[in-house]
Amino acid sequence: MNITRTTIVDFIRRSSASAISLVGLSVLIFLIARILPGDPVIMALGERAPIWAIERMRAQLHLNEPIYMQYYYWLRDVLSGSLGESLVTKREVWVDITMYFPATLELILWSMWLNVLLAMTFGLIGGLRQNSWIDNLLRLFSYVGVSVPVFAFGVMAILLFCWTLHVFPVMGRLSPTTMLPPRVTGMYTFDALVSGDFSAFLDAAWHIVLPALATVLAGIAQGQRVMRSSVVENSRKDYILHSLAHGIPRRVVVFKYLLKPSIIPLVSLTGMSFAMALSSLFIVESIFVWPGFAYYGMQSFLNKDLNAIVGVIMMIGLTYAISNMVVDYVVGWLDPRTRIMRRSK
Amino acid sequence: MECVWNKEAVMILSRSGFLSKLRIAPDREQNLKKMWYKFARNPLSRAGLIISAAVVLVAILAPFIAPYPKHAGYFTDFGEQSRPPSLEHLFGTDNLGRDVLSRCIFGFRYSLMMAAVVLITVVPAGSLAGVFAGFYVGTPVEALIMRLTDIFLALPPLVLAMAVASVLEPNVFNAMLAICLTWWPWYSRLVYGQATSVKNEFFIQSAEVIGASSVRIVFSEMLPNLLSIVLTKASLDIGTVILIGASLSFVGLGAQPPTPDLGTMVADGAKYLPELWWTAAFPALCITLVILAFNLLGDGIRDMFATEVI
Amino acid sequence: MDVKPLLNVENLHVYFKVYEGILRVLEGVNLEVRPGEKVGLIGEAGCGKTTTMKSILRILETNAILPDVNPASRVLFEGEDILKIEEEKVQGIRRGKISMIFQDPTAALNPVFKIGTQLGDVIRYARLARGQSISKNEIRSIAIDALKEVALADPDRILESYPVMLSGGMRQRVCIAMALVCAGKMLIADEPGTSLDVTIQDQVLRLLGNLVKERGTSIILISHALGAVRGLVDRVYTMYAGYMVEVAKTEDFFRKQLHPYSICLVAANPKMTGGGIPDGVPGRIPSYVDPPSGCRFHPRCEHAMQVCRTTRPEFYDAGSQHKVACYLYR
Repeated sequence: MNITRTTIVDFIRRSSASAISLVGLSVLIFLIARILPGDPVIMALGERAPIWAIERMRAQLHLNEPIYMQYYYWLRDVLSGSLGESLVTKREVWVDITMYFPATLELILWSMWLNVLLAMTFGLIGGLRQNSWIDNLLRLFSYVGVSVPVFAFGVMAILLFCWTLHVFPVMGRLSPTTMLPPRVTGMYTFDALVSGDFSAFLDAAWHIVLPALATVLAGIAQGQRVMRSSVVENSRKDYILHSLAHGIPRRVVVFKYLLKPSIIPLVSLTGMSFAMALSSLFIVESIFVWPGFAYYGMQSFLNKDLNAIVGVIMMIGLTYAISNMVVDYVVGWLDPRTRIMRRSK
Repeated sequence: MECVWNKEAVMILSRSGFLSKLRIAPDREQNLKKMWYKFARNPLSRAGLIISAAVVLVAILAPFIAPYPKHAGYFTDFGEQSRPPSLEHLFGTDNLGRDVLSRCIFGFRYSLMMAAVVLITVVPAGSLAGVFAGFYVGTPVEALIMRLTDIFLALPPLVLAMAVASVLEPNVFNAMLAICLTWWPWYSRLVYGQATSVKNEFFIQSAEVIGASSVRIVFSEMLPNLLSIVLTKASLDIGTVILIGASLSFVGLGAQPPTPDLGTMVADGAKYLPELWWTAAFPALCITLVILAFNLLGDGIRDMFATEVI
Repeated sequence: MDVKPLLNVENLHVYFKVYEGILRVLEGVNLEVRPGEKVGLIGEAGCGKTTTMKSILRILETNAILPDVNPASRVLFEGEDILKIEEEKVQGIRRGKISMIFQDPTAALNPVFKIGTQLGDVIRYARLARGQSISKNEIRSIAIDALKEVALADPDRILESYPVMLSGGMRQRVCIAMALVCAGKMLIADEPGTSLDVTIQDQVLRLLGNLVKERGTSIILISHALGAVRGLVDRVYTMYAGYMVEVAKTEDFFRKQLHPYSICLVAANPKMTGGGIPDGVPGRIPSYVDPPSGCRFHPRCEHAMQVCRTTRPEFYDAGSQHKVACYLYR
């Protein structure tokens, strides 16, 4: 990829725009978090805590000072690398986050690749076999998939697949009898593969499939719709006919010359699906008791754990901003037309 | 080109039944028919309309339709608790002896109310913000509004809603407030984008014609497009807002028990899986049905407003 | 004169199943091309020229129907009926015997792949047809040669480019190069250069003429540009609404057209020598869902007779290698 001066300037412009938004977000969340009715200190220490302990903690959290001072302290802490201390776990928030993060990273990676794979496959099948029974079935799925709330799917899936059919395990990341693979990244599937423990890999994968599907069900449904219409539109185009006319085998025409242009809208949609997936994670991790970052976030929300809430929100905001930029760049790379248009500006 | 907002106004009026009292000119009637045709062409849109209308009707008539209306509030009957679906209780009873079907019917009320309140608040407010920002381009007003919009959009919607709801006391009103705060920037950005693009076109093309009438012309050019775009998005959003509302209730940040909100019911029922599966399954199916119906309806409305592309 | 034809389209009927009903697009097309011969095909937009060509290569859409008629529709190429043989054999024909240059070069090239990839694949599969496997370097050198043949400068750069980076004329030449790789015996040029400006069109046609002369391939040239057709081909077919209405040797045709439609078509061509802008042919091509009975031109024909409305005229002889489908020449 050519890194030209305009690319760098463009990158800086985008990053600063995102950074400004994130700073604004931090102010917003900070304000909201501090306007809390109810006393965070009492919630943390309990109602029977002695007055001196309460006062001490208040001073520690600067709760007695004006709000802009509180923001200043928080900002100072963040810039020196600390997100404050969680009222619940009594650890540094960023320690908590790094501890819970790999589980979520694993979940989201699996979710996204399942999203792209299934959306691409279903869309391709539907587009190639237009109006057949399988196409109609898939289109029905695409409508329903978008309408099922994540929690409803989660609950129903657990009911159906775990309790009734016993296809998937009910919760957790590994069966109690499986040994933990040696920690490389903290992602059990990856670590198991890397250390060659295939049965652990299978077990971890078995545990992760249902949560992953729950996270991206809506994404698959939408992606499939986009892919299908893209396939239908492109299969009528002259260049496909042209390739066939020159004797290129149908298999090659479909999986190379039809697939690549059709997948472009799906990729940009996947970026949006990622954002939706970030939100769904909160619910999925709670239902499946998946000890990840979103689970931690959810608990912080429910426990009104101020520092943790702010820390989690900032992480999400940052991830969201980065993912949007990445998607823009990937789309540009995939479709040379946009790349060239941008360069010629 | 005939002013599109007339069509919309007539559509809205027709829904509220004033049409028969007005004498509609033949060409407007023709336009209405055309819009209806575009909507009704797709059987799924028709299905969406019918089911949504049914749900609204059921919600309004809940006290009369539900077999056990009292079960929707504070009610316990430990004699009838945990009964599987039967003829007396089509959806069974929950662990407190309440009829699940009746609670689902009342649950529709909460879902619809949430969507209605949020959209009625957010659509005008957000659109107005966008219009102001678009109109005062280059001024601090625009900068303020658009920066604020960007900030609120820096998080995925559900996360923001949960964050806001988490710092407020959990109840229905606060959930609606949280969703309102989350949703308004989408309309602001949408309207702003439209306003600025139309404005640019206009000024580039007719630089000489600028005069006192430019304001009025800009409004009469901008408004018709804006209205159809905003209404399209609003109708597509109904399902999504219901979904977010139910999700907030599910995680405990919205309606609290014993309020029969569908999300809360699924959360309650989930505790008793798999034995009392009906307490979770039926509310889950109901909420899916509502969202599906409004999504299909929204798609149909979008088709209705879509301009024909040759 | 009785050289066995390379391509013989006999009584070709092609219908399409669409929402409104059945489109009877081709209703008995007869076309003959001898080895090394250059044949022109003229007709209005929508008369079925492209559909006929697609039938020859058997790349019709999935909703195409080949109805049972008597005598049966046949597309004989070197003696074999393309419509009936197995897909493998047809692939072989596409890869090495017949190839087609599409009307719009921009639409014909896949925008997200480099020219080198697309041309390379064509070459690889063309070679595969002859039972030879081929290495990347060989493919590249053949590609470069092909691009040089169509007078494209800097072939290396072009192979690395995407279609959007090239001009219209260059894209057209690339398409011609691709067609040449596959064309052993016959080339079908569907309105080459129509979507480009006139000077480029002229160059393209000259290029085609030279190439065809050097290699001895037959060519079917479909074009609106009557002047171009006149300059290049040996015989001219005129097509209207799904079948051929006239065929003649070029000089005979342009000296005197026989079919009322051909007369109007040639007369409608604006001449640089003056005389004002001609009137054109009144009316429009018929709907294929409900085509006119008998001779499909009769609603627009000033010589229409009773019999024209009821039965289709045959291809009557009207001179040396001159045939007309009109009752005026029975």
